[in-house]
Amino acid sequence: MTVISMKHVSKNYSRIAALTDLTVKIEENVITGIVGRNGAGKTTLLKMIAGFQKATKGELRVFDENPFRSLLVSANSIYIDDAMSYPGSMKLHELLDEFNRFYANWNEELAVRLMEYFSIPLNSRHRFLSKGKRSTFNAIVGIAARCPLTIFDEPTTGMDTAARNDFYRALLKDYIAFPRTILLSSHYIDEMKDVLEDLLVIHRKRIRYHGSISDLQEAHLSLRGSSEQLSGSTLGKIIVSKTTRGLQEEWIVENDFSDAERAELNRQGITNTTVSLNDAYLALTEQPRGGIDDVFNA
Amino acid sequence: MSLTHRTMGEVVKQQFLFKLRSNAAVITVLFVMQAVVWGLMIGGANTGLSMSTFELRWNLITNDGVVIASLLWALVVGVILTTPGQRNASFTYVSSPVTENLANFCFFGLAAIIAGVTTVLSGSVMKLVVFMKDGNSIIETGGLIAAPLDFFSRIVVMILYTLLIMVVVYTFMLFVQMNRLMIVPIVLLVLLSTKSGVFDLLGIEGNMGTLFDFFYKESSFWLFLVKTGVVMVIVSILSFFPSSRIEVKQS
Repeated sequence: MTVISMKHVSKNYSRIAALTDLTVKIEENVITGIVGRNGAGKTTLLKMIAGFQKATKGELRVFDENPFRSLLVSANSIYIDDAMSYPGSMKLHELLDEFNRFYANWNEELAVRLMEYFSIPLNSRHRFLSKGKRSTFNAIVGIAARCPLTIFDEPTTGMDTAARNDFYRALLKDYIAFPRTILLSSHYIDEMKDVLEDLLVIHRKRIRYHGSISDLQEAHLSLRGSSEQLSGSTLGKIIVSKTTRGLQEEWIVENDFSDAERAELNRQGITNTTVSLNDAYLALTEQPRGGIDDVFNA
Repeated sequence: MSLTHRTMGEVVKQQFLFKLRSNAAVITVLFVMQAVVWGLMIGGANTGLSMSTFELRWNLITNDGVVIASLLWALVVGVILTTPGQRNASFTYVSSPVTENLANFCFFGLAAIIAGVTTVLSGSVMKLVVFMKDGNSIIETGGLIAAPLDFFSRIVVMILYTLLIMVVVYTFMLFVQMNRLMIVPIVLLVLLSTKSGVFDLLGIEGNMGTLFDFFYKESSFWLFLVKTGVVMVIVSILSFFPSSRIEVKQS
C-alpha cells in the first residue's frame, strides 16, 4: 500500500522555491532515509508530509488524503524534530501521559523503560534537559508512539555516539516488532545506513534519487590505480570524483560497465569495487571527495 | 499497522483538557490579578464635601477595578492562545486547525465562566467586608438574596463580556498572523465605529454610534444576550478562515 504519494509537488516560501516538482511514492512499512545537503528542502518536505505546511503546487497524498488540515493524518503520524514544542509548565511524565491520551498505539511501558535506560528523570521538565537528552526524549516519544507514519527530522542532534547507536538499535528493534512507515532524516548517513531500506536524496530542491540503498551503491564504481591507468580505462565514462590516495588515485565513476569491461579493469590491475553508501550519496549530491585538498594544493 | 480513526469531538475534548492542564497558570494569574486589584480597591477613595454648617465625608468603594482587571486578563488570554508556541504545542499531539480552534473556544468558555463568577463574587465579598467594617453603607447593587435574578444576570453579563473580548482578540490576532497587513483594515474598522475614532480626528460628526455603546448602553438583558451571542458567533466563524491557512512549525 502506498502511504505517501506526490505528483509534481512544489513548495514556495513567498517567491522563494523550497522544493520543486517532486514526484515520488513511499510504500507502507518501509524505512526511508531522507538525505540532502543543508538547505536542500528535507525539513520542508517532512513538514508537508506531516500536514504542518501546505504544498504550493501539485498533489500530495498521505493515507490517501491531503495531509494539510487532515485529522486522519495527524492521528496516524508523529513528527519528531529537535524543536519540539512542549508546554513549559508540564513535567516529562505529564507530557508522556498526554501522548498516551492522544495516540492509540502509544506504549507507555516502553516509553518509561527507555526513559530509565537513558537516565532521563520523569520528574524533570523538557527545557531543563541538556540538548542531547532533549533529543533523546523526543526520540523516545517517536518510538513509543508507534504511529503508522513516524517522521524523524534530525533526531540525533546533540546526542553522544552511544545514545545515537542505542537510538537506531531501539528504533530497529521496535520496527521489527511493530512494522510502520518511517521517514528518517539525518546528515550522518553512515550511522543510519544499517536501519535504512530505501533512500530519498534531495538535491537542489528536487529529488535526485529514490530507491534501495543497494541499487544506489551499485550505480557507482570506485576505481583505484595510477592516473594513467584510470584515464585509459574510463574513456566515455562519467567521472564523479577524483581523490589522490598516496601513490594511487581513487576515481568514482557512474557504473555502466559491462562484464567484459569489468574483466578488462581486473586484467589491468585496477581495483574496482562498489562504493560505500556515503560515497554514493556524496557523488549524487556533487560533493567532491577530497575537493578541499584542491583548495590547499592550488 | 491499521489506521486510527478519531472523531473530531474526541480530539477537541482531548485538546481542551490538554489546554487546561498546560495553561493552568493562566487561570492562576487571573486570581492573582483579581486579588491584588481587590486589595487596592477595598481601601476606597475618600471624598469630602464641606459647607459652612456641615461637613460630609464619604468613602467610595467599587468593584470596577476587578472588572477591568478581568477584562484585561481576557484580552491577554485571547492573544496567548494565538501564539506560535501554543499552536505548535497543540500540533505536537493530534490536532487539526478545526479541532485547535474549537478546543480554544472551549477553553475561552471555561475561562470566561471562571472570570465572570469570580469577578461578581469579589463584589459580594467587598460588600461583606464593607458591611462588617462599617455598617453605615449605601450599596448600589443588590446581592444574591435581595435580588437573585439581578445577581445572576450580572454574572452572565460579565461572562459574556469576557468571552466576547477573548473571541474578538483571538480572531483579530489570527488574521494578523495570517497576514500582517490585515492589521490596517481591522484597526480602521474599530476606529470608524468609535466616537473618539477617525470621525473626531477629522472633525466630522460620526453617525455610526460607538462600538462600546452597542453593548454597554443596552438596557435589555435579553437584547444584550442576543447582540453578544450574534457577534460572537460571527467572529468565531470568521476565525476559521485564518486558522485553517496558518502553517505550523514555520521556524
